[in-house]
Amino acid sequence: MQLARRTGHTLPDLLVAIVLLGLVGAISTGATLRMARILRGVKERAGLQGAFETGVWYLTSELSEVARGDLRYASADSIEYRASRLAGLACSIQATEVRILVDRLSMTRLPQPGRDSLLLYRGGRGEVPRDSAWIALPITAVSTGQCAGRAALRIATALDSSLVAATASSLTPVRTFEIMQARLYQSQGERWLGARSVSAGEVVQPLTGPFDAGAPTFRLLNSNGTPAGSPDSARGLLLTFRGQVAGWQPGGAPRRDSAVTRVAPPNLIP
Amino acid sequence: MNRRGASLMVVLVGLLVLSGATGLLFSLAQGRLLAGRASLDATRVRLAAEGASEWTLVHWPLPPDSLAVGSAVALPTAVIPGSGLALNDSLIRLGDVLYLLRTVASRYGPGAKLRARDGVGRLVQWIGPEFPDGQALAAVGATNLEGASRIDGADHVPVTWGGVCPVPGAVAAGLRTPDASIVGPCAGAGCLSGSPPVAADSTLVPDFLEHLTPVTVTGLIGSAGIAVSGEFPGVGPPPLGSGCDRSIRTNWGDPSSVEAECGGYFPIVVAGDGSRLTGTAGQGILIGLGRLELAGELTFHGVVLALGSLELRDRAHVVGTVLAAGAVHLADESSLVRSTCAVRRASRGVPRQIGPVERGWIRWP
Repeated sequence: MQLARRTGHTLPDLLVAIVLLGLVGAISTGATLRMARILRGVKERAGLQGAFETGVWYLTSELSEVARGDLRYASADSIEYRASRLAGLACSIQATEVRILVDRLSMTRLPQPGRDSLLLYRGGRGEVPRDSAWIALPITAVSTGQCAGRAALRIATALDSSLVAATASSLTPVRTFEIMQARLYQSQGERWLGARSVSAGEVVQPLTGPFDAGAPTFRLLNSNGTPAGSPDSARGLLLTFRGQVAGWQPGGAPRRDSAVTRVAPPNLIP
Repeated sequence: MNRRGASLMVVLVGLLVLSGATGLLFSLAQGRLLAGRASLDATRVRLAAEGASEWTLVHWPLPPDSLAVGSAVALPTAVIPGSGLALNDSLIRLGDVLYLLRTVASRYGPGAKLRARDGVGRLVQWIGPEFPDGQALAAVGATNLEGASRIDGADHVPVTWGGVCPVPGAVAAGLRTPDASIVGPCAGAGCLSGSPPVAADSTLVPDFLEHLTPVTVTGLIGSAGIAVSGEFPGVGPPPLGSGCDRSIRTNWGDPSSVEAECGGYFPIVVAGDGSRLTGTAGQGILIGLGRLELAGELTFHGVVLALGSLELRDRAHVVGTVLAAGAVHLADESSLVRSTCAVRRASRGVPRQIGPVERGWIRWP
């Protein structure tokens, strides 16, 4: 008679296996949790830097074409300005209508009556046109049309006869603009950067954030780089963004980050 | 009984977690890389467009009047080797002195695939000299008229220039001076005419010619193409058929007709102290560094800037305007008549400067 083969584990085997399993499990769990914290930290920091980039990109883009008189108001947490929406060449200027060539046009969107205003360039006279100026006009309607066989945007407005005569050249520079405001606001205990169209009477729309208390800040600079006394004397803008993300260590200090950029619109440089 | 250990499961789970974490990190990094590359490309094209625009303004490609008003020209495309960047400029003339320069920068990747594009528009003015033409003569020093000489503040259009001159403007002062008492008596009736014949102007100071802007007298002297001194006879256009040879020092353009070979030639002439100029005709800008005399049958169309004294004798005539820092003496049958058209055409002969326009910088992708 053959003896049956007996398989199984002894108690010491089981105890050793359990201890080893516990050790490996603890180590791998710890590593996994730590990895998760690091990943979350990296992701949050990337998100914060993305928020900085969005804020910087938005404001530098909006302010890139501001000229003297376009910065209407500025404080540490708010700035109001004329934002350019369209630049082009007018092929026809009448008392009630301006036509802009579509193939000589750069715009972020179509002009909107009541929201946007028109700026028409009145060239000066003579070899040194010292009396040239941009004239602001209302926009009452927008449609499409033709101008000497070329597609054109028709902007209904109101010009006086002297301005019609003064701008009687083959192509006249035009722009449209709206009044915008960028500012900080509190939402659920956090500070966000938002923007709104003052011309359209909008409420603030969130742009990016959240940021630290007291940031971002706007500071107008004059040509020396020192704080400007008024928007009229400003030649640039200093934008500062600050934020924080949770630390990687449990209970550790939050990690802070910041972005500072200086905007120097070419049209403000004398 | 098959025995299976738990270690395999643990290792597999651990590997799974590690793979997942690595994959997540990698995708985050990849996303950041792509975003960074896009941002870099956008910044590159933006800076390239801005830089190229500045370069073109400094190295203006065309003479100011070579483009008709309302017309456009595309300038040659520039490719920066090894960068994938291509730059395109186009120029549109919007008015007499107003231009729009548009520069577009494009960045291409492998396979000529467009990765980013941006552009800049620049409104600029070609600024020429500004000569006050509200008088026939502006003189700081004493002014004397003798014989049948005359000064006339009415706006004259030279006889054969009707096709290029606007309608004459209103009559202006014959003489503008800081002190009317230094004007000598007129020998004949109507020898000094205008509205008014003599206007007092306290802004006329001895160095007022040094304050011409935007082009200064020093700048004009530096741009002069002809320098003369002493007795200088024979001023007049070259013979017909010579093709308006500008190397001939007596060739000061031809005011007899705008269609003449030298009808569009308006040189800047600098005359040294003690110069006496005679001849038939000339046009442009004449700068006297000291004592200057025009005599004989010489008729000059344009602007005379006399840094010293000025004398017109015989049947010498100036059609345009005279700005004199010293004394002015007209004798015999000489005359000085105002012409805004002659002043304007003469100023076109001066090398111009690029001047900015308010709100002239435009983001134009």
